[in-house]
Amino acid sequence: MTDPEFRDAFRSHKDVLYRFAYRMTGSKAVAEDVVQECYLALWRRPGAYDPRRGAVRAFLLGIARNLILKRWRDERPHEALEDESSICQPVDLPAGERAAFVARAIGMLPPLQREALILAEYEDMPLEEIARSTGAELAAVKSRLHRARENLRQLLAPLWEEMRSVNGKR
Amino acid sequence: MENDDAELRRLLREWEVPDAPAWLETRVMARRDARWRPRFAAALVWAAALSVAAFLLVRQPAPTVPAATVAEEDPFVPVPNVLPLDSYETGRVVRMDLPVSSLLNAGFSLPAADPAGTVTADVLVGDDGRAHAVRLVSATTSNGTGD
Repeated sequence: MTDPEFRDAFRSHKDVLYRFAYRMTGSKAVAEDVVQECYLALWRRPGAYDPRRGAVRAFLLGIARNLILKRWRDERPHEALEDESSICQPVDLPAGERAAFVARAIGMLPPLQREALILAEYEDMPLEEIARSTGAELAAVKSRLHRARENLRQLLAPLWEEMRSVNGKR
Repeated sequence: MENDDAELRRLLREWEVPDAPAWLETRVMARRDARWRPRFAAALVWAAALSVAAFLLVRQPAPTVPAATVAEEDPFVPVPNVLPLDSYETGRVVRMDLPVSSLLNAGFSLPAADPAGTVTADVLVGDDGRAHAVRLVSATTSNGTGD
C-alpha cells in the first residue's frame, strides 16, 4: 500500500470508524485510539485486506469492532457479549437531556446488539455489509437488530410516550 | 410498526456525535512513521551482538568441545516478541555464530548450553533488517578461560 493510498483510505473512512467507536464505547479518547490502531493494522499488513471480500470500510470496521470487543471483554470478563434477554426498566428522564438519555440507553445494550444498531441506524449500512464487518450471518444481524430495537423501546419508554403524546397518538 | 420504527429512528437521531478530530490524521501518520524506528534500533542491537560475538571468537579461539549437535532439519523458532513474517514478506537466512547469552537474553530456552559459549545458528532476517526466527545448527561450548 502506497502512502497516497493509505492517506486516501484514512480520509475516506476515519469518520465512520470514529463515530462507530465513540458510540460503542462512549469515549472520545478510546475512539481516537481505535481509529489509530485500525489504520496502523492496515499499514502493517495490507495483505490482510482482500478486496474480493468486501469494501475497505467493512474491513476497517471489522478491526475496530474486534478492538472494542476485546477491550469490553478485558473490562468485563464474566459478562456475555450477547444477552438475548430483554433489558430492564426504563430510566427516569432528566429534563432537556434527551440526547444523553438516548446515548445512555444505547450504551446499555449488549455489545453485539449495539454494534448492529449503530451501523444500521447511524451509518445507514446495508445489513449485508454489517454481516461482513461483524463476521456474522445475515440472519444473526437481523435478529440482533430486532432485539436491539425492542430493548430500546423499553429503555426509551419515557421519551417514547412523550413523543407520542406530542404527535397526538395518545 | 413502521410508524414505531420511524419514531424510534427520529429519537435515535437526537444523539449526534462529532466526526474524527482533524489532528488525528497527523497523529496516525506520525505513529505510522515512528514504527520503523524501534525496528532499526532492534537491528542495531542484533548487529552489535553479532559484532561482539565475532570479536570474541577471533580474539579467543579457545578450545571448543562439541556439546549437543542439533539436526539441520530442526524448525525455525520465532524470536520472542517479534511478529513472524507474513506470507507476502520475504527474508534471507544468514548462518552465524551467536553468543548463548544473547539468545538467552532474547528469550530463548537453551537449558543444555553454556551461557558463556556460542552456538551456530541460521537466522531468518526480514526485509526490515530484523531477526524474526532462529534455527540452531550446532552448539559449541566455551568457558572462555582456555582451560
